[in-house]
Amino acid sequence: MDGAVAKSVDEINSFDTLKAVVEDMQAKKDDLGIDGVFASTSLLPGEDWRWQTHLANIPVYYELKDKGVSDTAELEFTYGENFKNIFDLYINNSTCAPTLLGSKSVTDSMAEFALGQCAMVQNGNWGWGQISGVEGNVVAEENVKFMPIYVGAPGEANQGLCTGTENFWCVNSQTSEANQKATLDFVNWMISSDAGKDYMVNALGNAAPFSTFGDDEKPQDPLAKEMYAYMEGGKTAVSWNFTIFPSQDFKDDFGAALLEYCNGNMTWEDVADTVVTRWAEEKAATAQ
Amino acid sequence: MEKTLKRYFVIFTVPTIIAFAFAFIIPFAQGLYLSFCNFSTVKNAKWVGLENYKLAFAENQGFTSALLFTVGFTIIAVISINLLAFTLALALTRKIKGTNIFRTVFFMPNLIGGIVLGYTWQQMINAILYQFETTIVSNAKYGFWGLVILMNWQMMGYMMIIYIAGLQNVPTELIEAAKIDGATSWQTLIKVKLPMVMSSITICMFLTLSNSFKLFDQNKALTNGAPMNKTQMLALNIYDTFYGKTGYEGVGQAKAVVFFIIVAAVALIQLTATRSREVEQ
Repeated sequence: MDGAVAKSVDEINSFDTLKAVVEDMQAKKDDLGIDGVFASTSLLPGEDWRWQTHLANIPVYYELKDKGVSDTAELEFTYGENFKNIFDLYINNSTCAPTLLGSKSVTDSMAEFALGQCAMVQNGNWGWGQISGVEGNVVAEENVKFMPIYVGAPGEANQGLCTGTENFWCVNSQTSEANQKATLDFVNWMISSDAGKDYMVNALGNAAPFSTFGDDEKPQDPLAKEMYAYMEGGKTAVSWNFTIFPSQDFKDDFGAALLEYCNGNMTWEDVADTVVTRWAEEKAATAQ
Repeated sequence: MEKTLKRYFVIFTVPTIIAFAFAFIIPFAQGLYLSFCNFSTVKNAKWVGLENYKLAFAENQGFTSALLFTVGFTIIAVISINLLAFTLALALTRKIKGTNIFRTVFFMPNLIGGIVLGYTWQQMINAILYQFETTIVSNAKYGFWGLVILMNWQMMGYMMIIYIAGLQNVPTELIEAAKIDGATSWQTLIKVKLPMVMSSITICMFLTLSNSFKLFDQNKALTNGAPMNKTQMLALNIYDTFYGKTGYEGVGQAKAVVFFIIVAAVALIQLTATRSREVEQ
């Protein structure tokens, strides 16, 4: 489009460029045929995990990296301002007013994206099913791409996608030995037999991180392909650190504070304060 | 008669007693025991004494604020539900046309589950608040009144049926006698009908009081405690404690025991208070 801030997505490699592009797009949203740049930032209770978990991971990742540790009892939220950068960008350049976000679910925002009402949505490689499954989906397979989440952190031109896992297969130590063995047998079958691998890759669309999976055993949906391209493209992936988040309570309270912030009932300082205090309290409470 | 009763006592009551023991007494005792333990499964419980009870009342646990919210909600809900239900019952015992249709319509919401109702009302209330660029979770007041409206809508019909049954049982001779003595319809209502339906009032008060106090599904679906747990009721607070944080299952259990004591005490006081006003027909 004439007068666009960036000619190609490849030019966006920092928060400042992203912000300029987003605000320009938002101003021209009618010409672009969208309701807003970002899909609604779903903050309906229970629908806020994309922010209090996945987006929150970015400031935590940078803070831990600066400190050279893998866990901390006291988070200083040194990158809180960076979180605010991207969060403000999301809520102020969206398909609806920030005060309405308390009624939006993840399904709503994925539907907005699928129906072409917005240009961007924050989600993971599991999102393709949610997009393609929407009735009236206008997003073609070749047109859905990933972009790193730039928050204005130092050296972010080289920042890649956030990749990792927060779930693990566990064997219950409280159960009988026969059950424990059966669990292990099942897991081994799942990741090494052809039938099990087929379920993992094709039926579930999992990008399995096991050495038993060959190069031809990767999910083929467009977002998975994008993800592999990024992983092999030389950028530094942002690891998922939310396994060290203190508790579900912490995440819920963070999400609740974000909702209050969007409704104008809480200042950003209060939100940042909530994060720091609740992190310390919950870390202490769950320390065994 | 007594002999027959004795003979069949075992056949008729033992199955029920066994079921009651398995489904209620044993889990209750175990729950009581677990409230003094630190546990992640019921089998690996470690005794910690009163520690859980201490933690349950810690300030950041939100138990006391949830209690206040619950009490406030219960007072408003009990009064409004019973007033409206009684008014409806009076209106629908006047032999007007279509009475049965109205009774059915008012009773219907009671057949819908709490979670479904919660989500439905959330959508409806949000649809209205949309016009004002806001949502039900933006202010605790919206959540509170939303919950009151929801519960009225759901429970009114059921209470209405109980009141109708009560009103229909008022002997016509009494009403006729009052009329002959020159009582106004207001006097008849207060002095004749009301004392005669006191047993219905006892039941309705008990049902609304305990249901409002123990409310969970509707609370969870409508606001889930948002904003900032300000619309969180006791049952939801217990649920969130149990599942919100590893190692806090015992604290949730302790809260549940406290909850049981409060509900039992409130219900007993209410029952004795209204029972004493009942009259024999």
